[in-house]
Amino acid sequence: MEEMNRQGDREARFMGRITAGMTHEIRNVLAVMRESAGLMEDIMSLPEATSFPHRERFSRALAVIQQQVERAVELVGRLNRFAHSMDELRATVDLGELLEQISALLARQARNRRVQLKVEVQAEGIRVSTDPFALSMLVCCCIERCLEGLGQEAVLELTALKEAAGALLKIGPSPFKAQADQKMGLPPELSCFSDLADSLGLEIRYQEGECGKGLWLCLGIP
Amino acid sequence: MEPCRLLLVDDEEEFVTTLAERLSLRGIRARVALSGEEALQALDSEAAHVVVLDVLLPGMGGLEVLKRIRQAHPGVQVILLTGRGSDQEAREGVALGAFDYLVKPVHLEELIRKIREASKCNAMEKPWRR
Repeated sequence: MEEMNRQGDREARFMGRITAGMTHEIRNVLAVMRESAGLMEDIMSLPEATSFPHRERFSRALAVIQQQVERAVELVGRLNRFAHSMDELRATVDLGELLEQISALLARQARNRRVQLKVEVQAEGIRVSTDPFALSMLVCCCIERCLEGLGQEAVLELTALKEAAGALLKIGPSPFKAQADQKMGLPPELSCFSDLADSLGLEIRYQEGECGKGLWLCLGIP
Repeated sequence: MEPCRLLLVDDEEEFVTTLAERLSLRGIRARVALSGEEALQALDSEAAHVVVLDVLLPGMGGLEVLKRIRQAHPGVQVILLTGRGSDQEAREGVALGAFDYLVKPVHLEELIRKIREASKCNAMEKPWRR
């Protein structure tokens, strides 16, 4: 088991290194695109360009290119930060930033299912010392399973709170139903991630939502 | 004050030549170098006030180029361009004497602002030697 964990760590760090390197290359491409589109905008704003018959259409198309470059810069930044989460097996993680990052990484999946991901951070600077990649993976997997079971137009709230000893991540309202005698541990739908949760030392419990709005998954991080 | 003499150093030729053209439209004359070795030769043949230097260069890396510029041309201010998510390399560069750093892809206005700040800093140092 220990050997498998070491191998898994090596594989994750390898993936992270390669992905981070690729994001650097993509940034170079975006830099070329931004400058080239910018040069065309500069030329379009020269006095001699005022008589160009297709000026307005060109300018609109250039504006679209610049907007998409900005969008790609944001996406690549997110991917780069995710890739770097595999650098260290233990690091200080800001849970608010983690939830924002995960929400952005899963945005397309959520959008495809017409579910809104809503991040709420109850206080500034909720930080824990943990394995950043493993925690991201567990939270992502919990959210993905929730997305599979939630109806369209649902809102899935991702909340970070400070606790007396450590912090709490809450995900809900989920589509899961706890067994009658089950108050702790992962629901059956997430049982395949129990090793991951154990390796992180997380306490997992349920909380009934207000007005019977469903079950909230609570991950207590020491 | 003398117009700012700028050297742009990046192995992405399309990026650096387009950037030079855009700067030229704004009255900032810029030479380009596509490698660290080329940059050092360019500085030996004609002085510059400010160097905009990509950190990740093939062969002689950006930080090594920075060290050599600081040794041979101490009056020149260097602005680093980094494409990496982590700040570590950039902070290392500033510790080695870089004026500042920007993350690629840069906004032209921000780069120009940084160049102007750096060239003012250069003007306050001893005049450089050819």
